[in-house]
Amino acid sequence: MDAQLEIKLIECLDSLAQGESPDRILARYPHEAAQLRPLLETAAGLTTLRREPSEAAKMQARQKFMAQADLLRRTASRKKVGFLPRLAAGFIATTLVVVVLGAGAVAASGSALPGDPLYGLKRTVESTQFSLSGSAAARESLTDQFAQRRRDEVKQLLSAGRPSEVAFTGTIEALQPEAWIVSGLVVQIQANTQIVGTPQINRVAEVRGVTGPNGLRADSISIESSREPGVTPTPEATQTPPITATPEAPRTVTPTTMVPPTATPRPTTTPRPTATPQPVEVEFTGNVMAIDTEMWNIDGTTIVVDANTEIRDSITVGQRVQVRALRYADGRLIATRIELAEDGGGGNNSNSNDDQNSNENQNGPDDNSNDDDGGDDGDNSNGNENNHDTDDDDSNAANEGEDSNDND
Amino acid sequence: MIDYAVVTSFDGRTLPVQDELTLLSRARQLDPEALAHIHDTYYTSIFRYVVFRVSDHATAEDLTSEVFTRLLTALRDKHAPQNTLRGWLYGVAARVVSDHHRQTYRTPQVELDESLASTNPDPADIVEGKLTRESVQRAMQDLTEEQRHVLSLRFGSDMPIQDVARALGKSEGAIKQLQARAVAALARQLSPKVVD
Repeated sequence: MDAQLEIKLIECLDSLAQGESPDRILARYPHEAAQLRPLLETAAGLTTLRREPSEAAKMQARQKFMAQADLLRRTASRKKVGFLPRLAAGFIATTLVVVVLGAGAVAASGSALPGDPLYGLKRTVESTQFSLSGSAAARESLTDQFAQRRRDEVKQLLSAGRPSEVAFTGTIEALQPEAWIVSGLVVQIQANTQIVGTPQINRVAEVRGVTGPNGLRADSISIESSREPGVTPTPEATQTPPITATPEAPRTVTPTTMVPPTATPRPTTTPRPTATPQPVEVEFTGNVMAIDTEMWNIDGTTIVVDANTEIRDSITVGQRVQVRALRYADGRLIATRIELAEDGGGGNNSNSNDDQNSNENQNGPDDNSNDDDGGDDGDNSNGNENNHDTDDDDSNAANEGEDSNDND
Repeated sequence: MIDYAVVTSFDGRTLPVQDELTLLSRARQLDPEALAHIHDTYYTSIFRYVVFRVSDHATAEDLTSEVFTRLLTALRDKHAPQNTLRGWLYGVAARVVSDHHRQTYRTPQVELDESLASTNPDPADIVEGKLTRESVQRAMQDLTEEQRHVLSLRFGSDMPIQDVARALGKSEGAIKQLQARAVAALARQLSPKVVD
C-alpha cells in the first residue's frame, strides 16, 4: 500500500467511524474506490463482530471476584492470629472428641451437610472443639473457621440445588434491592425478609434462610454494628430502628401511564400477603457511581435505563440523584425517571417513600417536586455515605462477652 | 498541552481522574466497595475486547474473569497500576489473550483450526456470508501484536482513537496509521486478491 493510498484509507476509516456508509465514502474517491472497497468493507465488517457479555456471566464473575478479594483480605489479616495456638487447640480438641465418639463417625461427619444424618455430630464436634479451646485468640479463629464452614455448606447445598434451612455469618460485600452478596454468597432479599440493623458494605451479617434450586432466599438478616468479622454473638439490636430492605407498596399503577382525572382510584387497602407479579414502584436517592448506555450504577445498585426512562437533568457520575423505578419480581429495577436530587449531595438515605403519593393525576403533570421531605432541611448527613466509616470499630469490644455461638 | 482534568471513557461514562486515583488507593486496601465498583465499571469493556480475540463466548468469559483475578493479585503484591487503571486492565487483557492462544497452539492434539473454531457457529457470526469471527481471528494471527491490540480496542471495545492513543502512549496520528495498516493487512489475509 503506497503512502497516498494509506492517507486515503485513514480518511475513509475516520469517516466510517463517524457513521458514514462505505458506499458514500467511496463515492468521494472514484479513482481508488476499487482498491479501497475491500479494505473499508473489512473494517465495516469488524464492527459487526462485537459481542456483549451476558448479565448472568457478569454477575457470576463479580461474585467470584468479590469472593477472591475476600479471601485475600482474610489471608492478609489471618497472619496476625498466629498459627500454633490454633493448631494446638484444634489437635487437642479433635483428639478428645475422637476418643469419645470414635474416629470413623467423626471423620465421616466432616463433609456432612445440613439435613444429613451426621450433620448433628459435625456440629457437636465443633462445639466441643470450641469449648475446649483455651485462649480468646483460638476461639476467635475457630469462630472464623466454623463461619467459613457454614458458608461452604451453603455453597455446596446451592450447587446441588438442595433445599435446606441454613444460617451463616459473613461480610456484606454488595447491597442491591433484590440481592446482597454476603461473603461471596448471593442472598436473595424477599419482600418478607426481616432485616435488623443498618445494611452497610463491610459489616458482618447473620443470614438465616432457605436454599433451593433457585438460590438462597433470606428469611432474616441481622447486621452487626461492628465491622470486625469473627466474633458473631447474638443479633444485637443496633441503635437504628429495623428497616426493611426495599420500600414495599403493592402499587399496580405504572408511573408512565396517565390516569384520566375521572378514573376512580383502585382500592389498594389490603396488601396481598404474597409478592405480586406486577412491578412495584420504588423511589430512592443515591450517588451515581457509573453510567452505561443501558445500565446505571447508583450506590452499588444496578438500574436498567431504557427508552422509556425519563432523564430530567444532565447527570454525571458522582452526582446525587433521585430515582423512580419499577422493581420486578425477578429483582430487575427499571428506571422510569432519574433526576438530580434536590438536596444535591447531602446523604440522607430516605428510602421509605411510602408517603409518596401518586404522580399521575390532574394537578399538573410536570409537578414532580413531590418529595415533601426534601432533605435540605437541617442537613442530617447520617446517611449511607458508603465509604469507610471506621468510627464504630471500638463498639465490638462490647460483644466479647457472649460468644455463645455453639448451637445444637 | 491539554491538561486532562477528566478522563472521558469511550462509552459515555466519565470517571474524573481524582476519583480514579481515590478508587485505586481504596482498591489497594482491598476495599470491597471500590473493587466492586471497578468490576462493574470495566467488566463489559474488557469482555468486548477479549471476545473480539477469542471466538468462544465461554472462553472469553473465563479470560475476562482472569484479568480481574490478576488485578487482585497485583494489588496484593503491591505492583498494581499507579494511575491508569483502564490502560493497565487492557494491557493485562492483551497478555491473558496471547497466553491463551499460546497455550492452545502448544497443546499438540488440538489443531489450529479446531482451536479457533467455535463449537456451535452462531448464525449471527457470519457477516455478509464471508466475514466470520473465525476467519477474522485466524487472519489476525498473522498481524503484529500491536495491530491486534489496536483492532480489538477500536472494533471490539469501540474505543475512540484518542483514548487508544492515550492508553498506548502514542499520538492519534500514529494510531490512525497503525489502524489503517492493520485493516489493510487483515483484508489481505482474508482475501488474497486484495492488492497492496
